[in-house]
Amino acid sequence: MDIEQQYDKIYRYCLHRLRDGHLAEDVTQETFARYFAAGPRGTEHALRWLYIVARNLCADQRRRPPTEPLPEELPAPGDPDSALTALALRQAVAALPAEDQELILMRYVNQEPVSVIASVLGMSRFGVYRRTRAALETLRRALEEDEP
Amino acid sequence: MKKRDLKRALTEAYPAPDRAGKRTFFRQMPPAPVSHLRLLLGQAGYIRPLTWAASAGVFALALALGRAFPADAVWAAAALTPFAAMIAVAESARSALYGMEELERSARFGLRSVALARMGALGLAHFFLLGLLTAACGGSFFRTGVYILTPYLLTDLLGLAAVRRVRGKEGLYLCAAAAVLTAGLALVLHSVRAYAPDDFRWWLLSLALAAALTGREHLKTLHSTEEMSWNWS
Repeated sequence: MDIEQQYDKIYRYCLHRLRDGHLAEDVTQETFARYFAAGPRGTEHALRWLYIVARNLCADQRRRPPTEPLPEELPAPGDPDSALTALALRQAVAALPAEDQELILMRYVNQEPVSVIASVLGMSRFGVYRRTRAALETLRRALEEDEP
Repeated sequence: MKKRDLKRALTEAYPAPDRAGKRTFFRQMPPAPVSHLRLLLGQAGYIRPLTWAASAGVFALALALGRAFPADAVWAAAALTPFAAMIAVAESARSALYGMEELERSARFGLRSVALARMGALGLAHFFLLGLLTAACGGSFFRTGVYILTPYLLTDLLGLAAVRRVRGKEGLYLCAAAAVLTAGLALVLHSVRAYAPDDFRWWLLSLALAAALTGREHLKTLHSTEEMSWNWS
């Protein structure tokens, strides 16, 4: 398992949940510090462990009163066209139900295997397939509606 | 937007973390602990395929000779095992031969751990093959085992002492000479009928002595890698 690649994925996951780059980085580093101290070995176990710890730490973080207002939007990529697409896409993802957002993020942004997603979210593989396909379709329709 | 384009756009829609922060974080983190078994298996992978093939070749030859000439199986095996020991010693001295000691000392696993793991991996494989060979030779497993193990350990002892004292290729030549000498000794012992049951107590004594001295030599070899790292630090 390429641990630095997993760092990027967990960071994106935390960023999606917390909507704050600094907080997401802190939570990602805390997750990995715990992994190095006592995390399991073996790729699939480790991935599942990382996501679950990151999710719990994000939940803890969100329960705390915010010290400063959270930014409205995530930073967008440099190219203006890509930035607009990314912004629209992130807004469309944010409009989905919370579980579908996680599914889309883990399956298409982080490109995790279905088995890992199923074990992290406590769903069957078939359930993951069905829900991601439906969520992707909802996302596609929402983007089509937004287009001028 | 097509589904394929949508999937591609999703992979690019979420930014990656700050590279500098990530690099600093990983630099501060201690390396993940590795179990002894994982270290042993990991280092076994770094042993050259040629070494494994040569070891298997020596044992296969001993087995084939034993099958062809069952009456001479024991002493033939005893005359061939020194070459397996020579291969093991040559592998353990590989870092010194290619001048890689300093680099390996600065790696995540020190030269001492690496040398110990590789000697362990190859030694375990050899002892397994020695066991197979002993069983294949027939007769009393204990007695045959003593006859086969004694020249192996004697070559190990002489070879390790040679590569520890004489560095580089010359050390390996001395190790090869020790293997030839021990194999020759096995032939001479066969010609003077030293494999007779009456002389078995001398074999036991030789094995005990060779085992003790080989163990001591392994410890000395490991200590010498530590001393060198102190000298160079």
